[in-house]
Amino acid sequence: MQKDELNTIKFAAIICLACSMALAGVQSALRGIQDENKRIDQQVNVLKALLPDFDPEGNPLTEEEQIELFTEGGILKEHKEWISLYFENFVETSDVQLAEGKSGTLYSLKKGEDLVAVAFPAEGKGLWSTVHSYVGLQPDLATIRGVTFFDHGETPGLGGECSKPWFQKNFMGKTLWNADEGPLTLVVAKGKADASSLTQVDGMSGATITGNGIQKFVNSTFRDYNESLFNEKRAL
Amino acid sequence: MPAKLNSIVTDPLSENNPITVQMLGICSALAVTAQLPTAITMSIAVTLVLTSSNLIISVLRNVIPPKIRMIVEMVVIASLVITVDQFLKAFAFEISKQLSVFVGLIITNCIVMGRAEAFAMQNPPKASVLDGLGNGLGYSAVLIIVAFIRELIGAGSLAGVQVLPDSYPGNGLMVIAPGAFIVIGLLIWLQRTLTKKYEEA
Repeated sequence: MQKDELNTIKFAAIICLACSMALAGVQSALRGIQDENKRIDQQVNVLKALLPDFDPEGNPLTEEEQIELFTEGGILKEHKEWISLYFENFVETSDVQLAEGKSGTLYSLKKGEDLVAVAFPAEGKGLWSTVHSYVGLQPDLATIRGVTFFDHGETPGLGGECSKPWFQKNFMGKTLWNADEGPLTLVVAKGKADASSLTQVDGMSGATITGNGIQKFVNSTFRDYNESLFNEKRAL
Repeated sequence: MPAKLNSIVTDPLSENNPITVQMLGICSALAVTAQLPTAITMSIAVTLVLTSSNLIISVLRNVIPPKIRMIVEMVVIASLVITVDQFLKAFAFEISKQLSVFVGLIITNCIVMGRAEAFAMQNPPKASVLDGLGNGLGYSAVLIIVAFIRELIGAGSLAGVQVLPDSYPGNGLMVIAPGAFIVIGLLIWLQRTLTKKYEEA
């Protein structure tokens, strides 16, 4: 009896040790590749906000954005390399200080000296999960150029629609600010948005809470950036 | 291959199919079958886990202390699933994002635990590997058939390639989980009618 129990404990200890060693080995061997995937995924999402017609499978440069590097360097086939190269060459990443001690990141897409677009990260709660997003603005720092929602755990087919192109395209051309009123409030409508409105976007049916969450965090994050950053930049 | 070993692989494909006859693993079959690529990835993952867990449990079957055998089975299965998940995150990042929690949930998939407990604990490694493979393939067959039907009717495409004319409006019911219930229900009906295997009342 005594011996039996000792054996059980020994066996349990050995199997736990063996399994944890194996898992630790697998994890550290694959860490590098996984981090690389995450980095590229994040770059793709920033690029989607800066350039809404960006397609990671295809050529990320529209014709007018063909810039020297690519005309001189030839075209790279492997799109992973495209993304990192494009990102490193044309997107300027800067850490920024926001009000109340918050810090943020601003991505600026430049073509020569001209600012083409800026994007900032925004995230907040949907129904089940934190929804991550990047919001891209035109150089006026008010009009939405593109927006991307990703890395969320919302219900597929309902709140999960937020990462579908139709929902994200919906935001393009809407405005978050004007000179007379300052920051405006973007509204995710219940059902179809008023087509003439510059601050309403179509909602997702069956996903009121996800829509409300998105509305809340996009507006509040924009206000944070607007107060500490955009107002000064516009004044320049 | 002797007839007996042969039937270990072929039985679970239809007559003793883990999904349509044993009614195991239904949850993941509903969740990942809206499109073919996710269903195929899930099928490969489950078949791999099932085959290797059966092998390991079968090799260890004479030394596993009976008192803690289910915990040991769980530890082995969980380690295998985490390994598969890590590989997917490294080499199939897009698909692993779509599968999200469902790869992790293979740990609780009754097929894996069920085969370890019911077969691998009593049988030698060779037969256990074949049993795992057979059940994995049986699971995969149902998953792929369901995903084929759901993607075709739901979106008019197969593995993302549009096959029905662009004017096809799509069918929202097939894309959401209730559509999978209906398709699996019809499959079970069809299969039991063909194999004449009925529940005894």
